[in-house]
Amino acid sequence: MSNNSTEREQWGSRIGLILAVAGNAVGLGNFLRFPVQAAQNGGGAFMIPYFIFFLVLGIPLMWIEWGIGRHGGKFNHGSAPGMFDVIWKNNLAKYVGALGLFISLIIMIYYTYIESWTLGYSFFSITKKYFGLGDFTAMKIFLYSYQGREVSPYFNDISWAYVFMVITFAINFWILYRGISKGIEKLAKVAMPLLFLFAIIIAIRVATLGTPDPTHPENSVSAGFGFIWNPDFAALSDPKIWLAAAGQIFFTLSVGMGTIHAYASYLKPKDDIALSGLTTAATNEFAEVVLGGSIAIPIAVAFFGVAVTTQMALGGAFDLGFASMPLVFERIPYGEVFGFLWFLLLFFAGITSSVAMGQPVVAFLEDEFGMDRKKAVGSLAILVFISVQFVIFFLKFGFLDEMDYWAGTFGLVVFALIETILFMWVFGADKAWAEMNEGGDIKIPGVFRFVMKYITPLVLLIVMLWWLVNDAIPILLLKNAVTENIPYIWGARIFMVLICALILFMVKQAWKRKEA
Amino acid sequence: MGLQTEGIIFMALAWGVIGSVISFCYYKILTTHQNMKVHAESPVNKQKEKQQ
Repeated sequence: MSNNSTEREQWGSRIGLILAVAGNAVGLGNFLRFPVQAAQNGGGAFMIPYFIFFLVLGIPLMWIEWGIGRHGGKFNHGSAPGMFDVIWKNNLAKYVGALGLFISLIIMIYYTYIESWTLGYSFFSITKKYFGLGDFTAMKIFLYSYQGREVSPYFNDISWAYVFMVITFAINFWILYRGISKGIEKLAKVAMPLLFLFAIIIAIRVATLGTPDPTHPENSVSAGFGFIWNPDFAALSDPKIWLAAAGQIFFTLSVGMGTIHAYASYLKPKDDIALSGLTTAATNEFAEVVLGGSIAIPIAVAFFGVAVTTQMALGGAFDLGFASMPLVFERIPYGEVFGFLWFLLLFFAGITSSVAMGQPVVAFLEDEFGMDRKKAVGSLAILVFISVQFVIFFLKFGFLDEMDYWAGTFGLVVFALIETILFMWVFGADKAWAEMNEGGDIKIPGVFRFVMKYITPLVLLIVMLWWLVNDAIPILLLKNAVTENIPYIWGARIFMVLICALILFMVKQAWKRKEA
Repeated sequence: MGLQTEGIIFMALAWGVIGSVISFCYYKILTTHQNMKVHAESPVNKQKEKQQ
C-alpha cells in the first residue's frame, strides 16, 4: 500500500478542522434533546452518569475515531471501508467498514429534511407567520401541516417544506462541492461562531426573563433551571437513567457514524489528534450543557410551568423546539428576532452536521473510485435527492422514524462497538495507542488505554444489548406499529436494504478495480 | 420549585468542569507549535483552488 497522503486535500487551518468536527458533533440534539433528557432523568443527578460516560465512552470514542481516521488517511482512505481494511487484514474488513458509509448516508437523507424545517421556521419567525396562534395545539397543527402530516388553514400542502428542503439541499451540496478547505472548513468558521453568538444572546434573554406572569410566580426561569438542575439522587438507582446518559453522550458527540474518520483522514500523519479530539468534545459539551441547558426548558417553564413543559417534552424534542418555542417567541418583545436567531442557530447546528454526513461517501468515491470531487458530489446529490422524496412524502407513515431507529440509533452503537474492537484488539492496543499519541500536543493519560480496551467496548456492548432487547426486537417485530403504517415501515426497510446492497456492491467493485 | 442550593452546586460544577476543560484546550491550541495555519500552503489545496 502506498503512503502518499500529500495527494489528498488538506485542512486549511487547525482551528478550522476543530470547528468542523465540533460542528459535526453540535446538532439539534444539543439544544433540544439534552435538556429534555436531563429534566426527565434526575435533573442535576443526571450529570453524574453523564460525565462518567463522557469519560469512559465519549472521549475514548473521539480519540479512537480520530486515530482510525488519520491512520486511514495515510493510506489514502477517507472512509471506513478502506480504513478498516488497513487496520484489519481480512477480506471482510472493507465490507464491515461499509456500515460507516451506510449509516452516514441514511442519516444524511432524513437529517437534511429535518434541517430544512429549521430554515423554514427562521423565515416564519421573522415574517411572524405563526404569531397569534395562541396555544400548543394550534402550534402543533401548524408544524404538522407544514410537514404535510395534515391539512390546516396554515398550509394546504407541503410546498413550503419542499421549497426549504430544496434550498437546504442546494446549500449542503454546494458546500460539499467546494471541498474540505474552501467548503466545509469555511462553513465551520462562519457558522460555529455565529451559532455560539446566537445561543449566548438567547440564553441571556432567557436568564433575564424572571417571572413573565406575576400571577403565576411558580412559573419562572429559576424554576426552569431548577427543573433541569435540582438533583433527584433516588433516580440514580434506576439503570434506565444510566442508559439514558450513555445514549445522550453517544448521540451528542456524533460518534459511530464514520464522519469523524472522514474529517481526520485529511490530517497530516504527524498532526495532533489528542488535543484536537479533546477540544472538539469540550466544545460540544459547552454547546450542550451550558447553552443547550439554558434555553428551551428554562424558557418553557417560565411561560408554561413545569407540568405543561413536562407534557411538551414527552411529545419529543421536535415538539419542544418547533411547537413550544414559537409559543414563547410570540409572547416576548422582539420575539420575531429571537425566533429567527433560535431557528437559524438550529440550522447552523444542522448544516455543519449534515455536510459531515455527506463527506464519507464523497471521500469513498474520490479515494476508491478515483472520481473527481464534482462527480462524487454530483452522484451523492442525485442519490440523496431521490431518496429524500420518500422521507418527505411518507413522513406521516413513520418512514423517517424507521430510518432513524436502525441507522441513527441502533446502527451507531453497533458501528462504534465494531470500530473499538477492531482498533484496540485487532489492530492492537499498542499500535492504536501509539497512533493516537503520535504528534500529540498533549499526552493522553495512560488510564485511557485501559478504558479504551476494556471499559468502552463493555459499555457499548451493554448499551447495544439493552437496546436490542428493549427496543430493537419490538420495533423489528412491529409490536407498537400503527397498522396503516406497516407497509411504509417495510418500505423503509427495503429501501435501507437496497442502499446497503448498493454500498456493498460498490465496495466490492472498488477493490476489484484496485486489484485489476 | 426554583433552583435550589444542590441544583446550583451541580450546575456550577458542570459549568466549571466544562469551562476549565475548554479553556485549557483552546489555550493549548493557541500556544502550541502547530500554529493556526498549518496547512494553508498545502500544494493540493492550492492546486484545487486554481482548478476552481
